[in-house]
Amino acid sequence: MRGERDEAIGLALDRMAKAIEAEPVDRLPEVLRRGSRRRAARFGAIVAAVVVFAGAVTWAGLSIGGGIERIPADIADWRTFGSLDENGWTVQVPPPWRVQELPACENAPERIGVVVTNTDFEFISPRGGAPQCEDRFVFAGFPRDGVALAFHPRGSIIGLFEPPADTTLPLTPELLIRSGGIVGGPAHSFQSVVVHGETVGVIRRYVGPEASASDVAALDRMLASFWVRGAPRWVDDAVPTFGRLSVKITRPEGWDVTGFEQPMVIDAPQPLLRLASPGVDEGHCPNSFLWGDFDNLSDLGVVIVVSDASTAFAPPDLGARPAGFRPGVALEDRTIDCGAEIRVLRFGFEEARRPIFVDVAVTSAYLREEPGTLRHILDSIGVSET
Amino acid sequence: MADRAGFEAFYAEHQPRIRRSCALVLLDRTEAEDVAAEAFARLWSHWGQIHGEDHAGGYVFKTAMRLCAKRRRRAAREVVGAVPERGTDPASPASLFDALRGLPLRQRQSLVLRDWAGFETAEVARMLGTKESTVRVHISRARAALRGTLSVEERER
Repeated sequence: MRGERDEAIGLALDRMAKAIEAEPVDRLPEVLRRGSRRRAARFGAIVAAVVVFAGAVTWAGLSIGGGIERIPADIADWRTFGSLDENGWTVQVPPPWRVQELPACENAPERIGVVVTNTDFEFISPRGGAPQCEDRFVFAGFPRDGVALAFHPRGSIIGLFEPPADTTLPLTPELLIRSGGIVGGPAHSFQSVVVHGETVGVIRRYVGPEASASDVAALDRMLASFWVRGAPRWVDDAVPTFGRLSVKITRPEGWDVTGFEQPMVIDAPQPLLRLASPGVDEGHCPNSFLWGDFDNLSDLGVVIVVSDASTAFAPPDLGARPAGFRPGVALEDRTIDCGAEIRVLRFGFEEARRPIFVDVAVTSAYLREEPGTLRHILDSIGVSET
Repeated sequence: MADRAGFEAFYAEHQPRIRRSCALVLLDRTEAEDVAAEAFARLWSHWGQIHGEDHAGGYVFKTAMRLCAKRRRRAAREVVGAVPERGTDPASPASLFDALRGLPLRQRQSLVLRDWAGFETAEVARMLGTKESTVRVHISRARAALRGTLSVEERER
């Protein structure tokens, strides 16, 4: 039976489909019109824009933690490069730095890429000539004091695994995934950039072993200026909760935040705040840690629950807040099967004169693809008395 | 200009199946028609680059399922289109509708693609961007939930 089609359910679904459906409307002309418009928009907007930006619009969202900052004087004359496609990107570049365009991939012919460096180094493909699409770069001869930022474009490929979640921008070096580096060359870190469920490309940061602090700072400003149309931003929240406490957290735009102000269970840790990535529904995949049972956590993402453990039957004696929330400092760490492999972690520390638990359930896919995002959210959590 | 006649023939043959699968996933007639139209519009915009009917079918199903997921995530709760009157027969469309509505999106998508559209588990996994083992779990749970609403006579018919 396993793996075979269930004919009875198929027939029942067929009846259901007919019951839902009314007389269909002919939408072919609309389909052709919309499709043609999409095609025209894609091909008409293949633009490698070199624009001197006023800077305000792009800079407005650059600082993690939100808030509009003044445009720093030293980037007011930076140039902006971009690809003005449907999920178009822009990046701001210091005027003297070298900009090399990367051609679009076949499956996303409207989206170009770019590699920017503080050196006069020309990036080439291992096959020789200019890098194409997702080609790796040859780093032989790359100056030891060189730095570079690249955006490799990508298009959706049928059959690839879905990305776990949209990438929250702006990016910082800590949000990127470190690779083993390039032998004898610069350190390398990267992150897939996903917007509206589509992987639009991969951003890569390269830092030579003798790069100056000022060049690395400029590189990271460039990284922070990288923007993709429609990408979620980081948002700061301060949520009033039970017991005159407030929980502050920095989270991606569009995630669901719930503050708990009423007592929930006697003699158990009192949940203060729950953060869930988009698409997580309450269902029936049980998890004794988390406030609520979740069903399609396997689809996307992450659930984080912050609770006050002083209300537990036997309040735990917890240590100081860890310097960083890593699996190695978790009080508990186990894996459960909830339609997909899910890692469940409990962290604990003293804050606001009480023991605090931070419980995390996260899919293995999310941990693999977006480890920096999760760390950034966890590191931002703070509990205070109001 | 891409092969318009070829696209129109493909549309005429496959649009009802896409529209109905979206209706079963979204449980909303209007949204299903919108999603199907958008999926075919995207297919038309790429028509010259997609070779072969199988490839086009996979593309449009996958696109439709992704659009369904996006709609579902955006909606605070599902809005029902033409809901049949609730009947007392446990196998009536209303009972099935409720049972389907009670399923998480991924389970519903997996079940519809496998048991209604007839795709192999591996194909469903590719369309949903997940592992075969995960799809099997989704289908198993969805079937278990739905079987409760199917009467014995209905299943033996």
